[in-house]
Amino acid sequence: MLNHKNFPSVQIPPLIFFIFLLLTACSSAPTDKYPSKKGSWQEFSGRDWAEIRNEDALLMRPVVYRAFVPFQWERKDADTQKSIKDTMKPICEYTIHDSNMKIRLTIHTFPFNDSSSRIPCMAQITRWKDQFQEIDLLFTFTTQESHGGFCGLKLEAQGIYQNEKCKILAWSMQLAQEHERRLTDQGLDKYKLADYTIKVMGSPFLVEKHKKEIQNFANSFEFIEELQTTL
Amino acid sequence: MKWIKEVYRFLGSIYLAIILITLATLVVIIGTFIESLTDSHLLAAQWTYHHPFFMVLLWLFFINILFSALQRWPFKWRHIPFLITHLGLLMIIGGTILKHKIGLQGNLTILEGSATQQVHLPNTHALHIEKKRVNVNLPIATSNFHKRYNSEIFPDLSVKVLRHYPHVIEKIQTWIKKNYACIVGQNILLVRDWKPSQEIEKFTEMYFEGYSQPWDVVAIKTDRISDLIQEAFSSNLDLKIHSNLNPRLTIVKSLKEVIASPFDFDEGVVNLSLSLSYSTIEGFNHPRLNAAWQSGQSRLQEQLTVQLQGPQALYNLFNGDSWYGEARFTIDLIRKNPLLLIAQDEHEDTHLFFFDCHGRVDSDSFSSTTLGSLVVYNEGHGGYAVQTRLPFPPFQTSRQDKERAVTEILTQEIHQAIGKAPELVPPLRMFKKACELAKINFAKAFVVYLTLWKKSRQLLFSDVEEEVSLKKVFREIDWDQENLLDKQACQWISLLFDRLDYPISHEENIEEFLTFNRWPFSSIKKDKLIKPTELLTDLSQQIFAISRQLPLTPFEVTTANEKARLLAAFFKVHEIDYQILQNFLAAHSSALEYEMFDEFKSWTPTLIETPLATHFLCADPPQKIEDHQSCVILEFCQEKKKERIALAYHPTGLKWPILNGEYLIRYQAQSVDIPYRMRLRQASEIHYPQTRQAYSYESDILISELDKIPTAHTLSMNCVHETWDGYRFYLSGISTVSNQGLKYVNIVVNHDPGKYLLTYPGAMIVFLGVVLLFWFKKAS
Repeated sequence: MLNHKNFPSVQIPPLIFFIFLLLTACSSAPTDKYPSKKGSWQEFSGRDWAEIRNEDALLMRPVVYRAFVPFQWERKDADTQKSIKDTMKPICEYTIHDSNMKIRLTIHTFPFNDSSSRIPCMAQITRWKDQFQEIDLLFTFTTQESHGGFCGLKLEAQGIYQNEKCKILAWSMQLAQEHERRLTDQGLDKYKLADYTIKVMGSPFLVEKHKKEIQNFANSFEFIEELQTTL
Repeated sequence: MKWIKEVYRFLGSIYLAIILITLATLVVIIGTFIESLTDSHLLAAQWTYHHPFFMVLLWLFFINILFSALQRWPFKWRHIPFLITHLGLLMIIGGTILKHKIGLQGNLTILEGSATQQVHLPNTHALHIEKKRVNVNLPIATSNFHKRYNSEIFPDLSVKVLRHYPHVIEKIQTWIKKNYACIVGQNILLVRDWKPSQEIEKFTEMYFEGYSQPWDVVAIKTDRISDLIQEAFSSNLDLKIHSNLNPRLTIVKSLKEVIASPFDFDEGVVNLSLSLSYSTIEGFNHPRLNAAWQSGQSRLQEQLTVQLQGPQALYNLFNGDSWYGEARFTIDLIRKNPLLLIAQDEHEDTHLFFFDCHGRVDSDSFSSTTLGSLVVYNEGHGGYAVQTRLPFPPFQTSRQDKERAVTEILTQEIHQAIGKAPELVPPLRMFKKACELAKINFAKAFVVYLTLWKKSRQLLFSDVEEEVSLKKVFREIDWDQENLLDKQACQWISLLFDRLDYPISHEENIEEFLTFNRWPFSSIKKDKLIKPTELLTDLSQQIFAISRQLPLTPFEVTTANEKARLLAAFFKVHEIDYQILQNFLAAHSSALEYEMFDEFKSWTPTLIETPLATHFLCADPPQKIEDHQSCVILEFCQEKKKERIALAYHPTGLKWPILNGEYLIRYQAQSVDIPYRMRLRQASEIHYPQTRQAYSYESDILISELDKIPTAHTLSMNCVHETWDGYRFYLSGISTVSNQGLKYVNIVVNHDPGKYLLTYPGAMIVFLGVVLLFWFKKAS
């Protein structure tokens, strides 16, 4: 018959226990929001400033932005052989496949010559809201956001879109005035002088499921080159 | 030799240890008291940890511990725990001294999207000198007035500190600089003092771009801004009062006079009061002119308000309920030229007041301590300026002009609305048919008809003979072709309103009048508060409901005026009056007052500007060192060029141009470069779920070290980042730069070079020594 007295007694020396406790207290959780195991930093070109016919010139389209993209996302770039001066065309789109459904994410940039030609963030938000046939106001939020030197609005909205339940996560971001005035209209700076939008559409369940990685993607969207400090 | 031995023994003795511990305790106590009394951590630190005496104490501690250990020589086995403990203590003190000497404690400020590796050292003095994106941080000693400083990057530029003031009060100068007011492109204006009893005189005429007529401009210093506004507004301003009952009765008087004393008008007395309450932050608070007419023969009283700012400005808004919806008089204000008043108050804040030719007011305020916005020329090399917009357009925007423009808008709106309407109500259908027969635009005729009705002060409008287009329309109306019951009802309504005209115009109680005349329905509304216009509609609808029971009326409808009166009764039954036009306007009203004018689209508001300057007032330094703002007078030399400038200490303030804008300078803290470049991706406030209450602040930072791949880190209130070589980064604050919402973070950078070599190993050794001390004692 087994008796507890038959088991060898294991005693942790108090000093070792104390040191273990000390080491545990001193350790910290990882703080990297963009772990290389889950995704990679991908780069995006700026929008053409003019209609370009020369094919070589199209290939010269400079890479301006980058963002952290999960490995599962499927990327589709704008056609390198056709001009993307038209701001209706996205500079890049992603498809997130999940089961038999998918989410579509599009990135548009809006170059500007002067401040008066910029589209206000609220106008974009209103336009997106108007695209719904019916909008569920209980699930519609607009919040202010800023990251990577851009400031703007984030829309989270749900409703009926093309006769189906749909959820939008969208960002309308403008290059902050503090940075805008340091950029010239020459060289790469010319491509940086642009506002951008990120729009994600999909079924409410699916968008909610991937919300964190989409949010991370949007927050990581930035210029590859750092902007000059104005302070 | 003996005294050397005694000194050696004393330095390693327990007595010195006790003295040092006592002194250190006293220093800490003094520091605590200083901090609690002055609320200044810096002052306390100056008298404790940063004081040379404290460094001497540290060195004495070091010597005392070292000598006490050496005095055990020759060492034996039993000395080991004692020696280990003392070695640990020496390492800790050595680490502290090393940190004092070559450690780093500073602040780093980064804007979202940008990066830096410059750490500013608090409580140090330096000049930031910049020449088109090449910059240098030149440390200066503010007490050395003879030394000429040069930097290697700008060898031909030298700077000398001429004077240093420990504390100054900085004042921003905008439109008024000392005794002169300055607007770019205009002659300088002398600023005059003003007291409430004085009249404002000597306006200077200035022509601004886009305006054909000149502006009267005056600059004044006063501590009675509210009185000044009243005085300036009523200067050169006339009041035009016109009777709506008697078109020939119009009086023009000086506003100042009529405010001071009531005047007779249209068998009554008119009282005027002006309300121009103004606050620096919100500007004018509903500025308005109130007018009250009191009949000389009865208790009859009418009041109206003329707002002086906003979309409703200049309209004569009738106060209280009325049978007619329009006062018996209208008011307009007339000024020859628009007026710009530049005023400075006792705090040296500057206020700009704008008064247009029709009585509108507007304002802009410029604080002497903080700037709302500024214009930067050539990134600061061209200097700075502040601007303001002339708020009034150069085209005609009087009350009559606004009413004309509104009529146009209403016509278009009604035209569109009627186009969409599937079917019109009978009176509108009748009116439209008549318009078609008369070939008159229906929408326009309708708006004109309702507008004239409102102005006519008639219960049922009938004076259409003077308006040619309406006269044509009403001639085409054929009541005999309409439903006879409708016609009969409208005739009875017309008769009733004829009877009501006298008691209403003599302010008699209509309820009593109706009861006296045995009106069968009046009691229905007795318990309910009802507006006069609603009562008239109710009465007309009551007649309409019983039209079958009413006998035929004896009179015939032949003239345009008679037909118009009957149609007005029909409109009344269907609740159609000027109110529906106002509803249209409200639905399409805009915050922009001038949008209704055609000229608005081509109007670009004129901006006027003035250069930005600062001046400093010497003051006694406050006890709290953190609140000190020092100032230096500097002399810059480059070849034969010399320039003197006074600068206040601003770690992140404006960089001022010198030597014709060739260089930009700022008096700030010294900065050092650290081997890490920090790029701020995002600074955010984390809220509790479903609330706006923040529970944490985070900043995503990309840290690059020379020749290494950048790494991303998130700093938060409880998450400090530490590098392998002892640099620690703490998030100390997140702020917003502008209304747009761009953020910047302040990061405290700390570098302790002896931490891993001395301090931490020392602490471990002390711990080991103490354990051994107890173990040896137990063993012995």
